[in-house]
Amino acid sequence: MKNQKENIVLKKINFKTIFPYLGLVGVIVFFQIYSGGRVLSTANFKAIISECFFIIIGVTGYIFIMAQGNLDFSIGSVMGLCCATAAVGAGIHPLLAIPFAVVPGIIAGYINGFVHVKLKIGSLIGTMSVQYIVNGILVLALAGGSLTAPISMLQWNTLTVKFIVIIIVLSAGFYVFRFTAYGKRCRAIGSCAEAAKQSGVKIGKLKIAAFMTVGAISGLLGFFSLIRTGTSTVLTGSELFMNVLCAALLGGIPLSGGAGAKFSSAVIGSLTMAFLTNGMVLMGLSTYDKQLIKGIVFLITIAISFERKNLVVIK
Amino acid sequence: MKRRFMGIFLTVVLIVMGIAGCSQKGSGTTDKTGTNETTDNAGTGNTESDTGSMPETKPFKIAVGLSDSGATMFSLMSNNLQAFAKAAGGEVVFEGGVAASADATIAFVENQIAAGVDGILIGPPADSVLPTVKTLCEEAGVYWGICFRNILDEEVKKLVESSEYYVGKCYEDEETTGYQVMLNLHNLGAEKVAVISMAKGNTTTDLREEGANRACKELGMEIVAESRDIAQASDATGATESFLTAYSALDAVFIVGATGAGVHEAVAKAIEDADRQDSVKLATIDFPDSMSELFEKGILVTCSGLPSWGYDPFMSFVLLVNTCMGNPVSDKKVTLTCSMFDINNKETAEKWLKKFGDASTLYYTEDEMKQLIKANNQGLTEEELQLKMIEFSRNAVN
Repeated sequence: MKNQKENIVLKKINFKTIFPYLGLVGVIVFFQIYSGGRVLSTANFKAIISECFFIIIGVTGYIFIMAQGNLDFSIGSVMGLCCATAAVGAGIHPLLAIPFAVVPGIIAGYINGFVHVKLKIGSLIGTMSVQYIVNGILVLALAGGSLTAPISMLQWNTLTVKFIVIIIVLSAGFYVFRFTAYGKRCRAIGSCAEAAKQSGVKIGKLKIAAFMTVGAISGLLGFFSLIRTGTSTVLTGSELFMNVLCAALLGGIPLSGGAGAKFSSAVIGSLTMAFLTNGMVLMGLSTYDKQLIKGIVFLITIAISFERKNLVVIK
Repeated sequence: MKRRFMGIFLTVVLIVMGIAGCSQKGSGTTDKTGTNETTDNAGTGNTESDTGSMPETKPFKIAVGLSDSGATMFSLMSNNLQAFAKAAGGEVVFEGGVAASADATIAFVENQIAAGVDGILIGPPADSVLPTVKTLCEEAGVYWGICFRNILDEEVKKLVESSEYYVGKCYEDEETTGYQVMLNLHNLGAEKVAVISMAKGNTTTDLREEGANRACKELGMEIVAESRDIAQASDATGATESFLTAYSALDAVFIVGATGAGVHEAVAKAIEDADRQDSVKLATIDFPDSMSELFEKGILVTCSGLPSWGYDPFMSFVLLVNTCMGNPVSDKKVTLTCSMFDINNKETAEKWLKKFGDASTLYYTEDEMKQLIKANNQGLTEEELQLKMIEFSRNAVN
C-alpha cells in the first residue's frame, strides 16, 4: 500500500520538470559549501546581479522566439550594433542613448522576422546571415575603432538601477508571456503552427513581432553594456547568444518551443548560469577548469532535462 | 503539485541561506583579505619561514587578468608572479581572456571583488573601461593597477589618477614597435604585407597598427589584407592560406597580435605547405616559443618584444603588492615604461631562449625579490624600479 502511494507520488512528479530547480539548488549548495559560504553573502550579491543581468533580460526576450520553436543567432551582434548607436546618441545627449539603442534593435528584429517570414528562410540560417551583416555594419560604423560613452553616463550603472530594470523586465515579460494573447499564441505556434493557423492566428505577424521583441531587448542590453563598460567595440555582445541559449536550455525551455516553454525556466536558467560562473570564480578555478566544469554541468543538465520527443529541426 | 514543489524549493533555498549565514559567522571578518584557507596558507606559513627577518606584514590576495598557461610566456609570467607573491607572503590568482573585451574586463573585476581579493591587475582593452573599474574598486576598497597599457584619454587619465585605490601602470611604446617591425621588413625588401591582429578597439594592437600604417606611408609599403581576432592555430592557418591564395605578390605576414598558443607556428606551416617560404616571410611582435627553429628555416625574419613578456605585469604586480601590504612604492601614481627590442637572427634568438625559453626561469632570485618589497627595503622608489627595468632590458640577451 505504502509502495503504491510512493509510486503514485513519483509518477506525479515529472523529474524533468523539477530538474532545472534541483540543478539551481545543487549549484548554489555546492558552491556555497566549497566557497566557504561566500556565494550567498551580501558582498557577492552585486556580482550575482551583474552576472545574471544581461542573461536574464536576454532570456526574457528570447523566450518568445523559443516558444515559437525558432532561434535568433543575431542577438549578440544586434546588441553590439545597438551599443554603438547608443554611444552615438549619448554623444548628442545622454538620454538619447536609450532610443538610439532600442530603435535600431527593433529594426534589426524586423529584418530578422522579414527574412524568416517573407523570404521563407529558416530562422537558423536567416538570423545567422543577419548576424554577419550586422557585424559588418558594426565594423564599418566603428571605423575600425571603438565608440565611447560620456563618463557621466557610467554613474547610471548602479546595482539599484539593475535591480529595478530586472524586476520591471521580468514582470512585464511574465505578464505578456503568460497572460496576453501574444504570449499564448507564441506558444501555440511552437506547439503546432498549422493548428494555430487554422485557429486564425496570424503566424507571420506574430513571428515578426517576436523577432522585434528580441531586437528591442538586444537594444536595451546594448544601452546597458554602454553604461557598464563605457565603450562599444566589435566584440560587444559577442558572448550573449551562447549565454542566453545555455541559460534557456539549463532552465528547461525546449528547443522545439510550444507549451513546454515556461517563463519560470528563463529565470531558473539565468540564475543557474550566474551562480555557476560566479561560484567557480569564488573557488579560484582557472579559466580552463571553468570551461570544463561548465561544459560537464551543461551536458548533464541537458541530457536529463531535454525533451527529446518534441525534438524537431529548428525552423 | 506546483505549490508543493515551490514549497520544497523555497525551503531548500532557506536552508542553504541558513548555512550561508552560519559559515559566514565562522569565517570571521577577513572578507577584505580573501578566503581563510588561502590567507592562512599564504600569509603566516610562508612569510615566517621564507622571509626570515621580514617585518610582520598583512597577507594579501591579488587577481591578475592574464592567462597563466598555454604558452611558455604565460607560464613564465605566472611563475614569477607566484614567486614574488610567495616572497611577500600573499597569494595570486589568474584568469585568462580578460583583456579580450570590455565586458570580460568588467566581469573579471566584479567577480574578483566578490571573491574578496585585495588587489586587481588588468591589461584593459580600452581606456573607456577604466572609469567603471575605478568605481567598482573604490566602492569595494580594492587596490588596482594596469599592465601593458598606457592611458591615452586625458579625461579618463585624470579621473583614474584621482582615485586613492589606483596604484599605477606599466606600459610599452606600441606605436614605435609596430613601426620598427615594418621598417625591418622594408629593409629586407618587403612591400606587400598581410596583417594578423586583434579586433579593432584593442588599445595595444590599434597602436601597433598605427605604427605599421605610418611605416606604410613613409616607406611606400602596403597592407594588402588583414585577419582579426585569431584565437587558435587553426584560424591562423586558414587566414594565412587565404592571404597566400589571394595575393601572389605577398611579401610577408605580420602578426601584430593574437591570443592563444601556436599561432606563429601555424602561420609558418601554412607558408611552408604552400611552398612560398622563399618569397613570403614572417614578422611578429612578441617572441614565440619556436622562434629559433623558425629563424633557422628562414621563414621568421624579425620579431620585436619585451625582454620577457611577463616582465611588464611582474613590475606592475610589484607596485600592487607593496600597496596591498601597506607600503606603497610612491605616494604618487607610478608610471613605469619598458623598452621593446628586436631579435632578427637565430643566434640572438637562441641566447634569448636560453634565458627565457624555460617557464621556470625567475627574473630575480628570492633575495632580490625580497628587495623589491618595501617592507624589507625602505629605499625602494619608483626611480629604482625604472632603473631595474632598464637594466633588465639591457641584459636580456647578454
